[in-house]
Amino acid sequence: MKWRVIGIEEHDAFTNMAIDEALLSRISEKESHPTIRFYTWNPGAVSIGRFQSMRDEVNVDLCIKQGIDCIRRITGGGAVYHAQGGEVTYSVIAPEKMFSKGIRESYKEICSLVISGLKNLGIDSKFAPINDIIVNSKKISGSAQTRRQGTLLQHGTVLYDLNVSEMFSILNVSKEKISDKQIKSVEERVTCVKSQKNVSIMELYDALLMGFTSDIDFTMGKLTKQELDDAEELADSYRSREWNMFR
Amino acid sequence: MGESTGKATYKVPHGKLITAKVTYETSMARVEITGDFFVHPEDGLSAIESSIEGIAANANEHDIAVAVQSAIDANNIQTIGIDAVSIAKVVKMAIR
Repeated sequence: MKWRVIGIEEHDAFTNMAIDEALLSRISEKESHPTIRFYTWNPGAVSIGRFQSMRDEVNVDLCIKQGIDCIRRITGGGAVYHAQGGEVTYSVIAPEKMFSKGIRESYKEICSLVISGLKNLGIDSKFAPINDIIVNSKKISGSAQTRRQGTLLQHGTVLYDLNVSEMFSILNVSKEKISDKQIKSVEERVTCVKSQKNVSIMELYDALLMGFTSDIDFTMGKLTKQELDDAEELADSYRSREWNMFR
Repeated sequence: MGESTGKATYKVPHGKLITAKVTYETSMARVEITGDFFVHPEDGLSAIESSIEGIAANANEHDIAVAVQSAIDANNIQTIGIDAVSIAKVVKMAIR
């Protein structure tokens, strides 16, 4: 099956998540090709997982003060700080029959594309179940997946640059989360591409693009007007307090 | 005596973080489960929460886990990073 690849774009959090959901719907209706997209976040944002509590996970007052958007994803998983210029995010949206039926296996399959991209930069990484990629035991990428009407959406981030103190001033990371990892500090859990290799964020994007597309039939494409219209409509829901604060 | 509300968080070994907020008197009236886990389909979490509501507050973990597992099975829910036993454990922790 032919893929469409949408090159790196920059949007706010609400538009980014709305585009992913719009594509999920259109692809499930067979109106759009399976799609891989890359994007960044402007302004910076915090996204929380579908089942998380915004109040528990995020220092919302600080985010408001600093102009950082707060958004709930439709996918599960954990809270992520998407610093402006600090990461490249990918989405893979395709009929679920193109991947393993098992969710855990399909995480591994899609994460292998990220691993391949990082390898293009000379960074050796490995899949760390359930949904992470690590370099020397430190997380460099996390992903989250949902499936609707026979279509899979997996989006994930690859950390390019990292301001640990900023990240952990915005995220409320509980001591329970690290209790079984035998580490002293949350700061020891995370690394980024810039700490591994002296490359630009566009070089990271190029490496990921190559990693994701080396074994597929694809064309570079753009979002259609219909997809953009759908996304604009959905973005309002993602901005709503009702959605973002419901847990 | 009146209603009480308790909250507890538990890190599932090799799994995800799970928090339960439980309002209870003699039985559990409202249960809210949050965390960085995955539930497919996503709406299934409401069925899991509902399966606990109404259970006696002094029920043991096993009984809570049985109710949760029934909801998981009946609604064809797949959980990743949590399971019926860990949900029961954190709910019980919340009302201690």
